[in-house]
Amino acid sequence: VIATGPATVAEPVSPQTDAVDPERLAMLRGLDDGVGALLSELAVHFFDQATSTRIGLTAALDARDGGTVSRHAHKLRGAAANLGATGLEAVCADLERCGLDGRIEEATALLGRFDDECGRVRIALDAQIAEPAP
Amino acid sequence: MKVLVADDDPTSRLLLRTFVSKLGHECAVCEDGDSAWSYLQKTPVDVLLTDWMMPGLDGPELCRRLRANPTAAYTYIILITSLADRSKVRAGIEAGADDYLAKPVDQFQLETRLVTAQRVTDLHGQIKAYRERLELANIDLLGQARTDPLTGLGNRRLMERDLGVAFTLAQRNGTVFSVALFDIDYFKAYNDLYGHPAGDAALIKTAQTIAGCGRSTDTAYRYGGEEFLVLLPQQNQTSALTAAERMRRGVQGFSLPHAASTHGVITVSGGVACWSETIPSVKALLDVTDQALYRAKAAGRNVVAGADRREPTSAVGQAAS
Repeated sequence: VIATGPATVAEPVSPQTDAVDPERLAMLRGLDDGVGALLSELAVHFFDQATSTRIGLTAALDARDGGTVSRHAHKLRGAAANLGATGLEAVCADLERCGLDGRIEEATALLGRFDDECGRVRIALDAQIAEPAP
Repeated sequence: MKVLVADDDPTSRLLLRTFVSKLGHECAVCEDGDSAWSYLQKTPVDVLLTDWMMPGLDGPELCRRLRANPTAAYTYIILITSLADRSKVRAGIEAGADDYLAKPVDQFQLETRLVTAQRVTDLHGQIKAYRERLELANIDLLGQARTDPLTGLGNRRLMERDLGVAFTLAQRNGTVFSVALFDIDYFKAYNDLYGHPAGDAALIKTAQTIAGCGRSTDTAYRYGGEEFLVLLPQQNQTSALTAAERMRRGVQGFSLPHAASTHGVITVSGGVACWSETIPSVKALLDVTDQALYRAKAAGRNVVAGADRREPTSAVGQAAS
């Protein structure tokens, strides 16, 4: 059940926390026997989606359209979960709740965390993709 | 199995397609509910993995449409949803989904769901095959229940049903019809003289001849023993007498020797009656037909008599031999 009370946004994720769950990453690398092509393709799709989500979020927040904020955040939350990007998944969940509740200012305030997590995920994924196959 | 993935999230599509392929199944992907529905209408699949929220048709609507198509082979539907969407899971199952998977999907969870899916789709396939066989058996049984096994004519049960329908239509619309009742002459003596197998053969030949001499709209039934009844729709007594006389001559014409008969061959006597408003029931109609047959027998057999004495009795005696 989605919370509808006062702000319930999660605490900022510590920079020391993994941006991407290592177990999930290992599983994804294992899907193509460690070659990493699948992970690269997933990353390309993911960042395309993250970029379009960020643009959509900005426009929806400017328009104070909570429903659209929620839909954008929901879609990227699923993609983040697929990649094990748990911090970004949490931010998306917060954005989704704020959008549903019409808490536009709180949602706007979450954009900084959203950008930070996207950056951390990019660094983590780039490092993994650059890593040679075992 | 053939699996269709419907999801507008490209990472989910790619992951699910990879999982499904690695598990040894054939996989197709669609980017939204509308294209998935178009695909499903052309290509049946064993399993549908569908996201809840998609542009156009959403997951539950896709489930409903698929379940509303009863002719299609069973498709096992797994709804993909976020853990936070669990309140929606029940609605999805009620819309027709069989199971759900929470995001992020992992290969092991999907594998176990697909094992169940295989079992369920196999069972549905078996049930469908059993049902088809049962329907064929029912058609066969229905035919047997209405057919006299010896002669292949309609049996008495079918005759009573058809007479009831004809009588009702006649009462409602005034649509005239007649019946002709035949009895093989000296049949007991034939059985005594030639044996029951020969008697059965005579019954079959007589039945085939009577049925073959009628119009395509006429129906012959085995009334019982060596008696046959023919329902002649839209025929008055005159035309029915002509038809019955043709049948009588047909039986005599196949010249099956009958040494115990005064005619030397197998023959039939016939009584004909036509429905009229004064006849209150099927039973009453059969009674007057039977009385006509009695008069034909009394007239020396191998003749046809009409029920209405005022009708020309040209057939009576005309064909006596």
